[in-house]
Amino acid sequence: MRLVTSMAWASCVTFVMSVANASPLTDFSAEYAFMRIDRVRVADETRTPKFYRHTLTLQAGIDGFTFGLIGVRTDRGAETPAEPESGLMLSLGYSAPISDWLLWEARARVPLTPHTNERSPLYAADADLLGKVVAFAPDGWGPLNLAVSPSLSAGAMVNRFGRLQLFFGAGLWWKGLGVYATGLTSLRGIENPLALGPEDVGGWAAVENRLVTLSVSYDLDLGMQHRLRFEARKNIPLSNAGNDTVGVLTYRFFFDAEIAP
Amino acid sequence: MKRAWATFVCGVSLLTTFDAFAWERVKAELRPGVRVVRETEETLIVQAPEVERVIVLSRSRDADCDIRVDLRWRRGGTPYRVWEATPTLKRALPLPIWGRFFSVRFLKVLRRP
Repeated sequence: MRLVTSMAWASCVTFVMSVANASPLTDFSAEYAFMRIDRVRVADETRTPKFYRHTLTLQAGIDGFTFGLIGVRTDRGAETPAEPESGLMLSLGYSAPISDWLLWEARARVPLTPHTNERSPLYAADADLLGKVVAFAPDGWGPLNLAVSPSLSAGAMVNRFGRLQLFFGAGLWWKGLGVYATGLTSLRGIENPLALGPEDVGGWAAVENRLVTLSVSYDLDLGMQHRLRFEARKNIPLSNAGNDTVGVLTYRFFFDAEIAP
Repeated sequence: MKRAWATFVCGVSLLTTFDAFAWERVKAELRPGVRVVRETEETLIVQAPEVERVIVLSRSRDADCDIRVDLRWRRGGTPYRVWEATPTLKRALPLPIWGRFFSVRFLKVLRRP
């Protein structure tokens, strides 16, 4: 947690310094995501709860840095009345190409108003620190004007309860249409969530899990400065995970049309 | 876990294998009869029949050239290669002459100054 806080402060200072130096914003984005879970694989059992999560993310970018505010609200549907849970987080990140075929990304999230019950399965702060490397082919595969852009990614994320997760992904992008598959596994965590005791700090946020995520996205460029992204994601739970179905709509405005790394 | 890492390493190797060097992409788009006068890691100079002036392509941002090859990136996506004609080329050769050097496909992706 100390590491996350230090990173957050470092990014804050960088952000403030950039603004103070009148560095222009490079982009701004607003993203709405809706997630639905109705089947969960826990300790070799399949359960059918109802979970819904609404997430709104506002983000400003200055060169490689991003500074964002994330609002989350979860509920369990009309069938199982329960108090909706909500939370507000601050997100700070950095991403940039480091060579002709490698891009790296780091991101941290810090709860501002942690009203969410951390023992809830939908506890929002599930990825407090994330690092990832993406390998890409800048020319793509195929003819210049019809090239398919492949990418491979690998990374790790750790949350405040020390659950470390590794993920590996592959994707293809062609003329705005992207298809991606990502596998995720935790290296350590609570093995049996059905036997969670009061001493198990973190509750579901510390459960050991494995899953595969499939996603499809479409980027619609409205001129050089506006972009809309539609995305649909589906989780295939392998162990201690849900069948999350996620729909995401992102609007991004680019102050600078492109960044030359 | 070892299998996952091995898959990732193999995948990256595959990507670098298929990620042909930029000049190969351009050379595949040259018109028949166009000659490569000089080729280094940073520069490619090509000459078309019956055209006195050569066209200089460069990967260096500082170089004075006719076509610049660069990497660009927008947040939310992966970086991509761009081919940009410079004002030097526009001044030196009229647009129809560019077509004596490169295919229509290349001219479509070539950004104009």
